[in-house]
Amino acid sequence: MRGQNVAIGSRTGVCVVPPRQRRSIHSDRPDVSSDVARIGIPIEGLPDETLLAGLGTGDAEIAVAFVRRFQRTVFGVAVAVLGDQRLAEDVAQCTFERAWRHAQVYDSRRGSVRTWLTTIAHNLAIDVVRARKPTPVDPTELTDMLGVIRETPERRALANEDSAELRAELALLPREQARAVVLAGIYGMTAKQIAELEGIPLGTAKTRIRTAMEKLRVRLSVKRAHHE
Amino acid sequence: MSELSCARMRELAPELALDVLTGYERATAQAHLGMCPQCREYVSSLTQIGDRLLTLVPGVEPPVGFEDRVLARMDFPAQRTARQRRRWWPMAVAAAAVVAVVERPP
Repeated sequence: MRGQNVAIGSRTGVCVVPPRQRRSIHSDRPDVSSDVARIGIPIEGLPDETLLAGLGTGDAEIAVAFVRRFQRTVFGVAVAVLGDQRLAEDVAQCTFERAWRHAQVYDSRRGSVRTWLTTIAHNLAIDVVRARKPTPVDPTELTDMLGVIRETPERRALANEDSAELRAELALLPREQARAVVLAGIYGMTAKQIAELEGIPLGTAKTRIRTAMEKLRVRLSVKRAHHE
Repeated sequence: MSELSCARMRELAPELALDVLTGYERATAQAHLGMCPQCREYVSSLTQIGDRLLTLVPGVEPPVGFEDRVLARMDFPAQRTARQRRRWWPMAVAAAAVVAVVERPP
């Protein structure tokens, strides 16, 4: 389950962010705190996990490299959900602050650093959206988002295989089901809100979400089994 | 609060996994998960799909100055200049070399 109670003080700079409890303590982080040990390795070439581990040690250069590597991704998620640059910046800043404070709870078995960061940014953004007056998703933005995330792998030949796989499966879903998944999964809309937006009964909205997610689960786990 | 069957839980699982379940349904679903490892596993597999979905959202360049503001917020001093960085590396190399020489047995 995503989403936990988070308070954001956009003007005060206060960012109260409890650690994600579903993640276990990551104890075997590589030690990158030793400056001498890093000599000869450009920071930009360090793996994501090493950078995250280094972030927790308070190394300013690693912090710069970490922010540079992930800021487009983090800000992209925040601005997609919020549709507002100022709020998105605040959420993106909170995301990095939280990653820095809780670098030690990251668990690589649960997913990549990039995925971890996007879920943090998403949780924070959704909490902000829900605390404000509901604003409808811009239909043009939704169409653009659907277009981008359902692009076929051929058009994204350089994308990593993990996301290409999901992209391909989303492209195979009936459009109304893909819309339901995007509205719920990215924009954080409830089945009731989706029903109102699409002008369909609540039961139909729930069925679309369920059917789509079940298809994705089955198809992606089958593919995974074939790879192993 | 009445107990949920596993079949009903599976109906609610996708919405719970995407964190869009509210009120009574959310409360009963969470209570069920607390007692049912199978359904917990099922919800977790759906949560992973939701997490992966977010990685498909296109990246966007943040506003100018974002990097400095983030670093300041994380209590890091303003970003070091390239000149300072260049000075810093040879110092560490030299220190390592000195240590190596001193520690070498005669």
